[in-house]
Order: sequence, then C-alpha cells, then structure tokens
Amino acid sequence: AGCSGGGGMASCRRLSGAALREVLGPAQGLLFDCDGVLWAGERAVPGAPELLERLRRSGKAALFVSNNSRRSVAELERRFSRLGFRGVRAEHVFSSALCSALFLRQRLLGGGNGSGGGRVFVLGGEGLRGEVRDAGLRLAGEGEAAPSAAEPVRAVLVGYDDQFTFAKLSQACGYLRDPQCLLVATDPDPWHPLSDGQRTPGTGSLTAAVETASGRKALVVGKPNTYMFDCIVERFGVDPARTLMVGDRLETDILFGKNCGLSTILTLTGVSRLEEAQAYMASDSAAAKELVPNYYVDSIADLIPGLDE
Amino acid sequence: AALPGPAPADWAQAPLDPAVRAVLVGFDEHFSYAKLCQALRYLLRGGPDCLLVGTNRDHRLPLEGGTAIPGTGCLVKAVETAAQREAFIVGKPNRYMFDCVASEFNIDPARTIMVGDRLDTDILMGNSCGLTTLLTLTGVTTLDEVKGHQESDCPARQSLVPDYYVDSIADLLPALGD
Repeated sequence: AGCSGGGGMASCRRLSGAALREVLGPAQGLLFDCDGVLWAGERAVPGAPELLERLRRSGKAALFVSNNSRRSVAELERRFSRLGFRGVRAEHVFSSALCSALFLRQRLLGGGNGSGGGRVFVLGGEGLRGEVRDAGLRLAGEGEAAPSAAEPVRAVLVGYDDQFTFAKLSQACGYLRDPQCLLVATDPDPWHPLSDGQRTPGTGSLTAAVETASGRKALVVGKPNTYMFDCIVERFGVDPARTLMVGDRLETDILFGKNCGLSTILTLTGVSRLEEAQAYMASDSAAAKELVPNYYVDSIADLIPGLDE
Repeated sequence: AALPGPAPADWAQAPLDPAVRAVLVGFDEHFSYAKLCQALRYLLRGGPDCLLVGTNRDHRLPLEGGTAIPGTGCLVKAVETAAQREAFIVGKPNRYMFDCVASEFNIDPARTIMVGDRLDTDILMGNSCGLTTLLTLTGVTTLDEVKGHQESDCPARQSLVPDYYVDSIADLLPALGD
C-alpha cells in the first residue's frame, strides 16, 4: 500500500475499491494534468469539480501541472472558475509557460555573470509572452533585421505558436547563430486533440523545425522532463513518496511521474488509450516500460469513493 | 482555399478537398502554422492512403556572406513530428532521382561521375548508387571535413568520402580534348 513510485515496472491496475482507499489514504497531495483530465475543451469532466472539492475537504493538496503554453496562470485561474472548479488559485497552477519563464529568469538573470540579462525571442502567443515579461525578462521584437549589440537576444523560446511562419523560423535561426543564445522549448507535445477528434500541431513540431534549421537541441521545460516538478517543490515542498501524478498522456504525464518518483494514475478521458498502456507493458523495450502507469481510472471522478465521506 | 477565422479551431472546420491523396512538402517561404494544420488534417484523414512526401531534407540554404535560411528539411520535420510518421524523401541522398535519370538515359554507374559540393547529399547519393564521386570545393564543404570523415572509424561517415576532389569544376577542362 502507499504511494511509492520506486523501482520495477508499473502494472497498470484499475484503481477501485479497497486498493483505491489504500492508495489515496496516505497521499498528501495529487498533481493533475489539466487538458483531458479536468476538462475537455470548454467542458469540465463530469465529477471533476466535485473530486477537487472532496480533496480539499480531506485536507489533501491539489496542484496542477500542464504542458499547455498558451495561457498565463492568471487566465488559467479564471478558466478553472468558469468551468466550475472552486478554490483554484494561480499559485497552484504550473504551466509550461510559467515554468519556461522561471527557467529563463534563472538562466538569464539569476547567475552572477552580470551580463544584464539580454532579451528573449518568443515564438508563441500573448499568454506565453506575458509570463516571460512577468518574470522580469525583455522580449525581442518581431521583424528585426539583425541582432542588436546593445541588448543581445540571449534566448529563443519556442512555445505553441499558431502564428508560426517561415520568417519567424528564419529570425530565430539568426539569433541562434550565437552559441551563447539558448534554445528553449515549453513542451515536447507533437499534437493536441481538438474536441471533434481532430488534432492540432503542438510545440514539438515547431521545435523540430527550429532544431533542424539551427543544428541545436532545445532544452525542453515541460513534461516528461522534471523541471516543472522542481518549480512545484520549490514553492510547495511536496514529498514525492506521498504525492500522486494524474494524467491522460502516457508519453508526458506518466513518464513525468515516473521521472519524479511519483506513483502514477492514467485517466482515460483524454489522449491515451488503455490499449496503448498495455502495449507498452507488453513491450521488450526498457523505455516503453517507463510509460506504464501504476493505475488507471475511466475518469478522475472514479477517485471520489477513495476519499473519506 | 482561404481558411475561415483567425484560430486553429476555425481552421479545423474548413472543408477538406476530398480528392487530396498526398501531402508534398517542399521549400515554402510562406510556411505557417495554418498550413501545418491542414497538412496534418489530410494525413490523419487519409492515414496510409495519403502519401507524405518531402522534396529533400536540407537543413539550410546558404546565402552569400555566410548566412543561411532554413531549408526544406525543417518543414518536413515539422510535418513528420505533428503526424508522427516519416516522409518519403525524393531528393539526395536518397536514390529516387538517380533512378529517374538512370531509367531515362541508360546510365552505366561504373562509367558515370557524380559532381557535387555537399558530402551528405551529393557524395552520399553518388556513393550509394555506385557512381564515381567528385567533390568540388567551390561550395559548402572544406577538405578538413572530408579528412575528418576519412579518418573516422564509422562506416556511415566513410560513405561521405568522395573518390576525388577538385578546387573547382573548371579544373576538369585540361582533361578534355580541344
């Protein structure tokens, strides 16, 4: 019983009944991915707001970790409220936009190298740009002809950019000719589901273009890399052994949980299918086995019976 | 056709041409997220029945003065990543174009020389197709790079080494009759 995310392959068990109470009982908190877990498009997953309310009443923490780099955490706080989730504040939400800004702040402003920071060229929307500004960084303008010696561009940040163009790709590569200029990506996601079952290209596809053109590898902030967990620990001090990761995407959420030493729960209201988890479990590849969740549920509403009345 | 609305949610509702059976990625200085969206929609709709073809994988197109612009390979990679599938690449170093030439002109590889300036496209294709390969130094490759591959133990790097080199193709003139 308990939440240890320790060694050996996970077994992808359906979480219900006595096992559910044994797993949730000792947990101090849960980390939730958002899209496909709490909501799908503009619709909350039925029972999800009630689950969060019951967690709050049980004294368990709920924190949110999302690869979605479109929205600022202030916008996300409003979204939670609009979709019927009570009591979620911006400080509980760790988006790849926020964490990329924190990462860049550390790298560009945090050290003692006294170079004054420099500017960031952002490939992304206003939500991402706002987080970078809020972190105290300055943005490079679009359409500039050449890097300015006065305040050089010290990082290119690739996020979800539905206004991505060849011209911006070319501009990014110009900055990246300076080996001191960082290449950072908010997340690796190749695509995201739309509510009608179609897909829209993700940051990962844009990052691949920038990497190919520049000959550089991007530092990826989002899941499955662990930087966002470092941000969570710094702000809230969570104990991985007493924390569960709940997500819908095996290659990001579940692997993130595994990488951070958390027990993982796959919910089936989003991207990944149970058959995919089972296929990874049956695979000979060590890398595939890292993508197998400890547990799965049809929806996070199924977790409610595991909490005290 | 023009896409309705400013956002991906709108673009995903635009009608798809029912006759499309292939997505072809070439050099496109007007490449955009919206086009990437449409490419992904066709590939998902068609599955294996919709081809994904790339003209080539060049990373960069060099310009005068030492700068470069992104090459077609970047756009191919963006589509491949979003669609999670690999494109069929027509251009060098793949052999498709050599096969086209060879079938039309009855070429004997043993009596044909491939002349190029790039190791990972021109020379690699020539070597893979059994041609004699000749590197010219008027383009992107330096002799030092060749030596690096030559001295390496890696078979993949060895296949980038040309049989011969010249400083410029003008150096071939003395070998030809008046």
